[in-house]
Amino acid sequence: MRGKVYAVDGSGLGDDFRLVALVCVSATRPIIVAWRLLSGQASEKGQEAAVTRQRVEQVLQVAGPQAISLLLADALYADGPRLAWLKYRQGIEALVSLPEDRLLYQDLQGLASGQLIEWTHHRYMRTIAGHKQVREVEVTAAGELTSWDGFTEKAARYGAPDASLWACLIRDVTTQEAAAEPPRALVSTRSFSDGFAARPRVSPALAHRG
Amino acid sequence: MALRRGLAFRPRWHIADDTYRELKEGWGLEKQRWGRDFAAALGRTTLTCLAFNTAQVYRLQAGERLASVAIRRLRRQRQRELGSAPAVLYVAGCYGVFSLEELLDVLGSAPRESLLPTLAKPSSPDSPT
Repeated sequence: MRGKVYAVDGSGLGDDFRLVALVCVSATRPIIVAWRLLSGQASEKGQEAAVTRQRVEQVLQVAGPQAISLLLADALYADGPRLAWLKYRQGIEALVSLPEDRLLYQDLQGLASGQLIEWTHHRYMRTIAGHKQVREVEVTAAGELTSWDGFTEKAARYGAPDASLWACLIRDVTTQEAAAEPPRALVSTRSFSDGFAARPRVSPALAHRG
Repeated sequence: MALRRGLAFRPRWHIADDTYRELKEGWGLEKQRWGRDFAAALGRTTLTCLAFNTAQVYRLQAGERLASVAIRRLRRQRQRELGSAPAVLYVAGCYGVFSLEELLDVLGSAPRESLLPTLAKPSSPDSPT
């Protein structure tokens, strides 16, 4: 497997089972590299994060310690100790959706509303089902965030006492309705030059800064 | 430049759009179940994931080239050193593919005669590549 960017996610199969898959998403086509079928209590949504570690270890064992460079996951996997384990134990960067109820999310909103970090405006074209649409987003980001105790404490145990995180808020301002929604947040163990660089699902060729 | 660096989160959508949707809607993983017990579900899921990956590989450019080659010719091209009837050994989660000659050798009964194609010496200009 040449690609080193992986994504992890789970999906229910009826009421009884849940499939958790670690997929290489940077190859030409996505390839399921490791998977686990869960049943019973373990198949309840939210329980699947626990098996992520095993799947990552499985891939590293088979494909070598450098096999994964970046792991992408949704908010269900936003777990501080797990991010620290990935970064400082396995050398894997993570980029994860950050739920609104997290302290880090509120910190970021506080920095933005206090104008301590700047929103930048971006306009780009996206294609959905063959139709092109102009989309506009506002993005703000901050690095060296240390308010996620679960992450920093675990990182310190792994020998990184100065560990910090990078996070961004992304607000869709294409329509007034969309702009009224709370901004979406991403958190990463890796630094990006700005939030737009980490944004979800846009076309790079057509993106331009407004 | 910042814009060229990123798209970092975008590939995550492959897992929802191109993987789970394909497994469920294309391969019928959710609706066409083989039974309610775990072993049946595990077998169905494992075979479907392997089939999904195989299809993905064949959709690559290299895969399309492979798909046009019949299996016997492919074996002759790729597995000269394994002969026409290689043995697959599966032990403790690992597998290996061996020629019968190699297998007999490992088991302490070296064959007196080999049916493997004779490989030319490396110094020969006709060496197979």
